[in-house]
Amino acid sequence: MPTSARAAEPEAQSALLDRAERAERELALSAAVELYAQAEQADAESRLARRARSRIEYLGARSEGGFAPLGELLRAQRSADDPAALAHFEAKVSGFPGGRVRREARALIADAYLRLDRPIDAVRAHRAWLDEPNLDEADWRRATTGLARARARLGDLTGSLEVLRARGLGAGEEATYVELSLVRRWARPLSATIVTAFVLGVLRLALRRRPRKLLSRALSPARLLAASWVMGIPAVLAFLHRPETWRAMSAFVPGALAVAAAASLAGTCLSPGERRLRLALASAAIAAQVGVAYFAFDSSGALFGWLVSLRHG
Amino acid sequence: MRTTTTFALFFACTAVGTGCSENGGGAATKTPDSFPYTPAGCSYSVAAPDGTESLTMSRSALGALPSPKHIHVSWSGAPESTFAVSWATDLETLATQVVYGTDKAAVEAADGPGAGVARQLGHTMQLGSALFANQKMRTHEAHVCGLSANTTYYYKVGGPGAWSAVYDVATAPAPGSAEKFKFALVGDSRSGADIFAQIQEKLSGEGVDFEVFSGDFVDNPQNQTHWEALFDGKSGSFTTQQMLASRPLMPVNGNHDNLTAYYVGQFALPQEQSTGELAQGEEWYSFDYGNAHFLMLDSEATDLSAQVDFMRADMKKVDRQKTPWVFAVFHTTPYTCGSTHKSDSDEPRAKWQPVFDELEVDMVLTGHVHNYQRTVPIRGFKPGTTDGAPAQATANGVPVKGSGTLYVVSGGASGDLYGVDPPASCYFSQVTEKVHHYVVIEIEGKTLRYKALRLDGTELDKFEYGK
Repeated sequence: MPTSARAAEPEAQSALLDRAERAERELALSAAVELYAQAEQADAESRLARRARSRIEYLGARSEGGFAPLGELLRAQRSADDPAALAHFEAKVSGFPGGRVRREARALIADAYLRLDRPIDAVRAHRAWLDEPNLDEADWRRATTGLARARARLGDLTGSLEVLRARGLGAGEEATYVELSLVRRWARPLSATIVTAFVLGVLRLALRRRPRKLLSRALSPARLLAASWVMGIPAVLAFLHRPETWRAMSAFVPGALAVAAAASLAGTCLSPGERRLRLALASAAIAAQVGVAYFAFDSSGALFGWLVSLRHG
Repeated sequence: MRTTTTFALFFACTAVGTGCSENGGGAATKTPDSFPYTPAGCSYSVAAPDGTESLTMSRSALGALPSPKHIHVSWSGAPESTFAVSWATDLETLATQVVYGTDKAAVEAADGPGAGVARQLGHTMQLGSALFANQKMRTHEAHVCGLSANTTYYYKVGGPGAWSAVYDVATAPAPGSAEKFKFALVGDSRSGADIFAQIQEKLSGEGVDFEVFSGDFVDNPQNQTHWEALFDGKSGSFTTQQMLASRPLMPVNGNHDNLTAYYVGQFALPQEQSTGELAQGEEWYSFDYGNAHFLMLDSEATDLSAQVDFMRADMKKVDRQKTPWVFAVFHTTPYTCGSTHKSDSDEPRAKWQPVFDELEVDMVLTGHVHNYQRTVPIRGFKPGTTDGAPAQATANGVPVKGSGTLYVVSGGASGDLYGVDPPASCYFSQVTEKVHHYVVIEIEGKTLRYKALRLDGTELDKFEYGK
């Protein structure tokens, strides 16, 4: 067994490998394979010979059509951000012989349309990808997730979720995102309505009943300070600091408001009508605060991050 | 007495290389006094992890399903002269041999040591989990030392009557050599054994010399079926094992690996134990490959400060003239541009970034967040904070004359991806994308070529710089 120090790998081998890699970059793929073979034979026992062998195997597995489809695919990889080039390539792929290169070409087109935010094209491209025979599990999962993502971008959240659930991906992160988007559809308008109703209700009440007195009370420095602390600080923390801080605050603030509401009801000289009104106002304040908390929690991304951590660790 | 006999026979067999037969079969026995042991020809010793249910040196016993599976290589010693190989079989198989040589045909024909073929005996462990009592598994581990640098060796594992196919593995260039080499960064395969397999096929085609793995192999590290799915992964006709059996994979502990016996027992890693270190010294370690040095850390450790001492002591042994490139690899990223796992980044950033600055680490390679991110070079903190300060950079966010450290998140092998904010929303970000991907880094002398590729082959990030 040779245990003596082996000389450095021959320079000729390294140079041949460089030439092969250059030929591959220039899409002269048959020539590249030949040069890789020469590099491998220059010193078959060396470490670099393995790199040459690996490349020969990789290219060999994609040699259908005499490397012409692979050449097109490698060219398309370099211009995948150009929609016109992508559409041109998509038209060509239908003529590729079935096999690995065509599957990889379908993947490239589908991924690229999603990155380019062209959901209609992306839905079509993902369906074409899913129609390819002999997809392996990873391709199938990527294509399914991509199709769901494309449908979500078209606004079809229910359809997106159906795609994921029908294919057993309903517990994944993508499904969590779509589910949250579905909740967002009603939760955001509802929160906005509650907050608006609360603000309008308070204003209306204030204007109908002793407006000047109520306003002067409400605008007292102590109340303004309390209101800015309750409403403002968590929002600042949420958007300028850490979503996790906001998560704690969003749980804390409604509780604090509840205590404040209870305190405001503690007066003994209130009439039953006044007490009911204060109770209604305090409840509306809590509901509005929960609405604000939801907005901040969701918009900061903390809600999604928390759901992902909860579901996926 | 039995243990002593076994060991005397083991060392005799190894030293002579031929003409010995092993003990007969039988149930594995605990031989705690035998470990750690020094594999023949190696300059390091090998211990077994806590939680090993039984432990024995190689014997000839074969079970009903003795064919080696999940074969994968790594390093416990110097990459230019050693390799370690691990594999699994049924519980009853105790044959733990590797035969190797530079002549593929000779290795294929061999049934033991002979002309141009050497043999090394290893040890085998039965591992189990308190959570999944019916998931016991047997792993085998053998260490081959005294090899020539820059050389391809062929090997097979198992024993007479149950040999694996023949695989090749190559030793590293001589330490400090300026010869070019490529390595890959992959992480967070977790629920993505299929994605991991597809990445392995791509990396095989890239001709990488080895991989570093930034943690979180599987969802539940106590569940051996998750490990089985990972090792049995396929992409078309390509198997994950094809790659892992010939390219060393050097992992770090993730929060989903959690230093469980299945993780520690199935990977043979350097075992130089430092203060406070668990997993018989495999919790953190370092190695050299060519002219690069790798600090492999455990960001999930209870106290990160213990590794500060390790890093400083370890880097004292590194001559930066001969070994200019230094990479730190661990799981939880110190920088992430997005809400998922953001708070996890505080501690490694506060405790380790000052050390990376001090040691002038070139790149920090991490995972934990399932997407791709790369920062601009960072050096020091903003005054009064533990938020890193951007350093001088090119337009592409690349360091100028070692101006700072680049932090990479590569959690792209997972089935599930996490959203990430666009780079403009984080002062430290250069590139971010929610995508399955892998990273390939080529070093040639004082030049580093970096590329991150999506699975569709398009470039996600690419740059080159020198020092």
